[in-house]
Amino acid sequence: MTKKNKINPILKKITIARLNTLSDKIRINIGQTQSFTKNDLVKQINQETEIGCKMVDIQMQFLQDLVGGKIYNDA
Amino acid sequence: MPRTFLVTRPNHELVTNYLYFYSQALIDFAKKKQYLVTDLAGKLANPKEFHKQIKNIFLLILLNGHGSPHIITGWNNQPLITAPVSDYDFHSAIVYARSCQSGKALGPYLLKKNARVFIGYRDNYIFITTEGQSPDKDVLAKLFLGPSNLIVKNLLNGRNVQKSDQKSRQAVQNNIRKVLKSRLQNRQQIAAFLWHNINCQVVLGDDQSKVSGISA
Repeated sequence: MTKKNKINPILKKITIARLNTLSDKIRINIGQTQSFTKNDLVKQINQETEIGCKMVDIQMQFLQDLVGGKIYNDA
Repeated sequence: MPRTFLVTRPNHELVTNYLYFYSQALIDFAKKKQYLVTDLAGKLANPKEFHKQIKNIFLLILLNGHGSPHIITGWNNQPLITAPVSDYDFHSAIVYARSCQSGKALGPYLLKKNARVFIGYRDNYIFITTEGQSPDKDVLAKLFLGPSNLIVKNLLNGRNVQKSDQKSRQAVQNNIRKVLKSRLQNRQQIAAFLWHNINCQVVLGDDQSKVSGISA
């Protein structure tokens, strides 16, 4: 299901930029759906699919927790 | 009573192939520890065989396969357990489902069906693989699947669920630090996916349980 403007355009840009650094040989395996290349994921983000939204959430949560020190503190 | 361990591990495509491979190490380890292992490998991870085996009492159950909030699947994505349809008694087993979203509805359902503890994921379990690599050579996949194996390995070693979960989380966290300090081209993204898995790993039920049946 595609809904327009589900993703904040700035967050979308940041996530796409981050995912574009992935090597072409990398496959991201997400559940029952399929294995994605970086280009597949960028497409999902641009189309604002469920997977695309999830990618943005994952990247933003990571950045937030990295900046907040949670990643280095929790153990 | 013999210490019994049930494993389902289909291998019909890339994701399940990796889970299949990583489960082998746990099966070998369990056998060394004198566990009686029932290995529903490949095509044997089908509903009919699962239905037959689940009538037996297992202290530990490892389910590998695709999943959704209500379903965990086996060979060719055939559902092995469906909440709230499957009417199995889990006889106080500790169940670990290496499967997406099973912590949402399936986990609580298994507790109602007498599982003592359920360990799983409340969101998608994500792991990275490298094209052209086999599971045994794929160092990126190991960053993800190695720590998930630690849950079962620690349980087999007699640790309680809380400690086993903690050991696995610590291993993921160590991998995140290792990756972030590395020169890997994809380090930030790999770390983000590892962090996601930590955040969606859940333990439901009595986390002081041990495979031996005695609480810590």
